[in-house]
Amino acid sequence: MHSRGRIALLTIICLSIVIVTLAPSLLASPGGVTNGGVNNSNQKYDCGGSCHNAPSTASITMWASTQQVAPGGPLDVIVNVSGGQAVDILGVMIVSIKSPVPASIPTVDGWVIRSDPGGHTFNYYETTTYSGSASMRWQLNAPTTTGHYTLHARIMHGGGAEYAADSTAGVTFLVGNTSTTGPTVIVTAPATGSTVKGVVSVEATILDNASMRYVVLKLDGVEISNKTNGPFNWSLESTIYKDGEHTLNVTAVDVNGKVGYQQITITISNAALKSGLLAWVWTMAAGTVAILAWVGVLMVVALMIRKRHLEGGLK
Amino acid sequence: MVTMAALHALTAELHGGFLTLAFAGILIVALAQITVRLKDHMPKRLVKAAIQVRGYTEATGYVAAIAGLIGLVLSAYTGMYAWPQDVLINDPIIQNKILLTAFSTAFWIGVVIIRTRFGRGLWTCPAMATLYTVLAIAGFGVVGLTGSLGAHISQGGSILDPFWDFLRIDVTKTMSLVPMVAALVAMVSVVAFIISLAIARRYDLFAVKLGAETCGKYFKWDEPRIQ
Repeated sequence: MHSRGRIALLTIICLSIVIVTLAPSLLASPGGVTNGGVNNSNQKYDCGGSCHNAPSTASITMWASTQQVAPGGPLDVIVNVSGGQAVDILGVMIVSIKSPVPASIPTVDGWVIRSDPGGHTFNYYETTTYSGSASMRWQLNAPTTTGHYTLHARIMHGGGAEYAADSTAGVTFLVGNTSTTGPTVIVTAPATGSTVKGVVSVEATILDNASMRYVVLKLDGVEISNKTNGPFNWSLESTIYKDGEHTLNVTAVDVNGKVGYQQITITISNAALKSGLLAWVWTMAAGTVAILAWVGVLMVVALMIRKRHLEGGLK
Repeated sequence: MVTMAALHALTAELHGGFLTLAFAGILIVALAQITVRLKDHMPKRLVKAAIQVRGYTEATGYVAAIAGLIGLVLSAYTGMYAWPQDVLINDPIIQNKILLTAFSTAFWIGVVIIRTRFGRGLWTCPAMATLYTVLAIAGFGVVGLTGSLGAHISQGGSILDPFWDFLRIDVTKTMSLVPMVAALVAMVSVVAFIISLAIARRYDLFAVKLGAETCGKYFKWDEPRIQ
């Protein structure tokens, strides 16, 4: 055999062995990544240092018996979970901050857990019989200090499946001042002072005894959207605004004409996003063109080699 | 109602399966050709089996490559609608997945073009057979890497992570070149392609039919007896 042909064949064999060796692992699912919440107890947001990182496909909703409560007053919070990965073990926790710190345990904020779904007084409860749908109730007493408080829910699938998910905005409570004279607006996302890019999710909670006439979202004083019914969530396309500091305002007007609002400051920074996107598109287009072009070039080279062999009288 | 995410999962399985079959088919033919070429040093039964097997798997590889390529395009289409657009353009892992999907599509297009243009006679020409096989290997390898990124999206990690670490590639960061460099790469490639077309025209290369008689008889192609 001609030496070039032999080299080509050896190259094919070596590459084939490498690929065939790698093929099962290429197509396989990954193994264990992290551990998860273990046993019923009070656990901070990171499940005591053993949190799951991969996203769950479960849907989580939170419901509260009331969102305006007197200091120390009783209320119930129900976390409904549906779907998600098919594993029997499901852990659910309620936290006051979505950050892996001890202060994320609601009792640090002043909440009193009278009863969790298991009849204890923990913020984390785990069931081993999850079959695609679960509803868990916490009976609480509100903090004794007046103010705004938020509770979030987090779920974890167990049994080595390792998925986690959070409720998006949680439930916001107004403790004290229950005889409010107008709507109280709480912008729960984005955080004030945060830097945002791309499409920004704006979420607001409105607390009022009366129903809403309308709720307006404004950026730098210019109305962007107007809603009459909740949920008061918006998707804000930030790329159409200049980079820099902007004021985001959510104003609520109830049927009695009472007005409430919250204004926060955010910084829009899309320059990096735009240039990164441009580089990515260029890379994809150029890479694809290059591959196809070089396939064409190599085809011609292969035909040239064949021609040379023929003209050289090779057998 | 069937969601785009479900259709994406379906088409992803479809192209994954077909392209694996195409890769296996092409690889088997390559190994069979080597076996037949070295028949003087191989057991007769093995040579006979290789001739039989390559006859079946050659066509299988071609058909599976076409089906896989269609699946790949459908998978890319359904994937574009399976997630919100802001997620698609903001998530570096998804960006990398789209990037590698484009590259693997280009490799498999090359495979299908070569086989369609030259027929099974390509296996009688070592250079063309090598190019065909290497393209299939590269295409399958990139599809595998794309699958690894899919595992990152759905599972948070992949068993191929040591491979990425070895290459010092952080999959959570967008793989990209500076636009000027990318443009230069594309330009050089296109110029090389145009020059190669001119050469092919000058020597009338694209009129060539590949076969044992025109390829220096490195590889013969004895059709198997289909029983």
